[in-house]
Amino acid sequence: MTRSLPRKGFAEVGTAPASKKGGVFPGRSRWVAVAVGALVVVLMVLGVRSCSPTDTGPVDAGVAAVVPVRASHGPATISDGVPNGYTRDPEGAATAAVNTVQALAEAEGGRIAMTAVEATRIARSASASVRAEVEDGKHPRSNPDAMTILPGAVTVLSFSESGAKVSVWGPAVSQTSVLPGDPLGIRVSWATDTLELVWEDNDWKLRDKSFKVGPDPSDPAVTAPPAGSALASPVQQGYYSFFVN
Amino acid sequence: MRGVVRALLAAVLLAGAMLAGVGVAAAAPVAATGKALPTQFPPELRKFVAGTDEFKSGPWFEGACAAKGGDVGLYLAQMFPAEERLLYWQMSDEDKLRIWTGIGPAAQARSEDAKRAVTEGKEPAHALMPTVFPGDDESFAPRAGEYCAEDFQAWGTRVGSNEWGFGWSKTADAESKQRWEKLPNAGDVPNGAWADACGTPDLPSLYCMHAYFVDCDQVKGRQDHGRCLGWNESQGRLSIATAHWLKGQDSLLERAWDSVDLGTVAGLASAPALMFGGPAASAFSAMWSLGVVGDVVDFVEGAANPLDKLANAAHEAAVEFTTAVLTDISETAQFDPMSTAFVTKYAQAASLGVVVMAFMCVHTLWRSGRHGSPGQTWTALGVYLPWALTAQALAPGLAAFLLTGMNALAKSMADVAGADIGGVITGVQSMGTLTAPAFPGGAFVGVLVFGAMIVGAVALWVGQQMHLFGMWIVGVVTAISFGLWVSPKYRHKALRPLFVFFSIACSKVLVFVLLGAVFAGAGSVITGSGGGPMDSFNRVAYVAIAMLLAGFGVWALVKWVPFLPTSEDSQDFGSGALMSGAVVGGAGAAAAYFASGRRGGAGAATARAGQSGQRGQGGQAGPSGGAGQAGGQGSQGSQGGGQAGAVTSAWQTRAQQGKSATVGAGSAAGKATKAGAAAGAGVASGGLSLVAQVGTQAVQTGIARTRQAADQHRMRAEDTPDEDRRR
Repeated sequence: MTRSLPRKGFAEVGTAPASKKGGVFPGRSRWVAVAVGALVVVLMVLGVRSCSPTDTGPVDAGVAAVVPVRASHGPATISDGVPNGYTRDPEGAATAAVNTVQALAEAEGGRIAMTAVEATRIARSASASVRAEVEDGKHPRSNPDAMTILPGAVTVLSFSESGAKVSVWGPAVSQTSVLPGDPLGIRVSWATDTLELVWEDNDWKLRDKSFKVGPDPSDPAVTAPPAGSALASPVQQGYYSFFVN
Repeated sequence: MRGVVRALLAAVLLAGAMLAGVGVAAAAPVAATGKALPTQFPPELRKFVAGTDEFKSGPWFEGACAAKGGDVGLYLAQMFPAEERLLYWQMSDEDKLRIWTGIGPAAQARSEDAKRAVTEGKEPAHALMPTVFPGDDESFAPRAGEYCAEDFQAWGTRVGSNEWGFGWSKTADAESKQRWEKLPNAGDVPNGAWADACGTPDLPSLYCMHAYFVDCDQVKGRQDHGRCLGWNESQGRLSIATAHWLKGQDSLLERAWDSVDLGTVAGLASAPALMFGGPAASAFSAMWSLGVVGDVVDFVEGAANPLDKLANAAHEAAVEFTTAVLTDISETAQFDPMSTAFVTKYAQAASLGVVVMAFMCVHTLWRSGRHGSPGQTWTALGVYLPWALTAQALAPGLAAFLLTGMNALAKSMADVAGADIGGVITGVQSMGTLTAPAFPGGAFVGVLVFGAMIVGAVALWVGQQMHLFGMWIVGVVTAISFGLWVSPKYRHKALRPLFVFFSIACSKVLVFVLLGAVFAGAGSVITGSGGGPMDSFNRVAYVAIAMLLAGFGVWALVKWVPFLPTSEDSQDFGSGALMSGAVVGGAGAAAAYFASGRRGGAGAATARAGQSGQRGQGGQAGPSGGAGQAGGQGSQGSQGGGQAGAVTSAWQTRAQQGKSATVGAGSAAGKATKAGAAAGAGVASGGLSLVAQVGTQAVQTGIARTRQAADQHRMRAEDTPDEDRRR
């Protein structure tokens, strides 16, 4: 008895037979791949959570969680001692850059939690060096110096709606005793931070940062800066200070 | 199913790397193998010597610095009171004898008693000791929890071979020096103590031994800047106090130091381990060495003929260069895919990738008229095209995510391997005292075997640098390869640069694991005192073999790891062999050729390996010594054609003709390396030829295996002839 072949309709002529298995991970393997992917995500989350040390938290327990602030270009709030919420203009970017430098130093000194800085000031696309600095700052040293960073000259080197590059030159004033038994003394050091910010989640966040020691105020790079340097470009004006503690 | 298993293994590796990277702990020091502390070394001092169990469990690995390499400040604070005793015990027996006998008319009379005391492991009274400052003065003890090893690694020089992982800077930064000048009584510090503490011959040696200077221009942030300046300021005050203390000492102190010729910086040249704050940075690990390391002596004393002079030059160069390379072996620059420079280049390459993508779209549409199906075309344009664009945009971020874990894991492995590397360094330094009379074969064999050490050191250094270059090259190539995702015919090729990148990232971790194993094996030989006429030769030869294996063979040994893709994945990119692959392959082939002692012997063997690789489909890799894995050995890949690359085809041609194994693009490099290989490759060791052959065979086997896997991957286009579809 002759077995007749199934007839194909006109539309089926010339088309390849439907493959039982298609796609990158066909059939049952697809679910295995999904399970593997989920396992990786779970392991990474567990790893980050389990290996992250207990943050010391802010030294001053009196810091409120979220404090509304009103300034012309930000910050709009202070969250766990960290300013955030800036305007999408060069002045907002400049303010965000200064406050980010200050917040990082405060966290590295153990006065505020680095996790709070990470949550509000660090971009998702932050560079490896920024991430390393953040991770290191989660383990502040003992006997940290009390440090105040002042923006001597802040220059917006470039600006767009999505990103900005800001240079912050100024002193860091720290109070410390060098050796055990020494009285407290003041040390002033000058440095330049150059920050790359991105506009993310309606705020300026830090993507990359470079640090350079100096120049000292007596340095010709300050008194007669070369053309094209940050200190030769117009600096931001209208700076005021306030304390958050 | 194999793809799923491979994905599972990769996921486990990635998760493990992340767990290890996020929570990397300070690497506990590994006890030195095959070495011992001096006879009767006081047990209460053991905790200050790296490599002892007591050091590992010391308080400096607890507290705030536990996860940052250890508390160096606390170590110094506790070490200072015991420093004079530690310095005594680190001296050679001859110097210990001089301490006991002292100088002057009565020295000879005390010699017998002194010998007995040294033999019995006694410690002289404090009055005879070469006392140091600050000793018991706690006002100069650094505070605990404030200065960790990682800080000094960043502010000083990163060194992979000592316990803390750093060396002090030769001098402080300019700002610190200016601050020193403004300290009270700064004028009491003698000239040169701050400018060149270890280069002023008449300066008391204590300034050089305590040159704990760091360079604050290397800091990365404001808080670090303040702490670094604080550290240098404390060392400035220590120098001032040292000057005052030295003025108050009587001549007995000077005689104690002068009796061992260590009273001034000039005398420290015979004890380099004491210079530039060496004892503190190494945690007195020199205590384990075969003896106080001194200068490299002439291999042939009174060299008259050119061969003897060449032997002396090769001896000195081998010891010094090998020491330098091993010291810096773990200091490979880290690749940051999120750095502005790389992102810029990646963006430029990505624009080319988009152009490729456009061409592939057109090609796919044109091809769909002859091959494939509407469904296949829709998949290519509707699924893989947006996939490719998305992956291309996210790749640098994902790479940074991957490298964060891998770099941290590699650092941990480097720290663990550092102890073994340190052992080899100590052994290499001790070879500086080898002389021709104790060496079988004399000057001629010395030239050859020390030459082999130099070649091995060069190979090791090149291999380490290629990791960084490979990441750059493959990273940029990956941006272009995303354009191939659209085409069903070329899609499988787009994955290969990704696999190579992943492989290089993972291989860095494995390299340090293997380096530690290789050097642990070599260390046990070069520090063991087997005796006999071949003892000296064996020590040098084993180090040479270990260096050559580490330089040429380790990258190939990595390919034995089954779940890591191999360089074959990037063969199709570029038609010419990358310089690294060609040079290393040529040098490895040259070394194998000369070592085999038979014309075409090793070449024939490796050519057979090349032939076995060619039985796989598509392009081939050239002979590889392994270090050229980055970027691949680039042959002209073509589908199904089996067209060999220029290197391999020439290799095979020569092998078939029974000619030399130095072939192809590597021949020029092979000739260049002949000079070095001729000087050193005469190590009459079958292991040398075996290493090169094993490495090349591993490459070819991995090539064939991974090629089969890639071709069987479902993402490969099914180039089904039309007649197979029509029914």
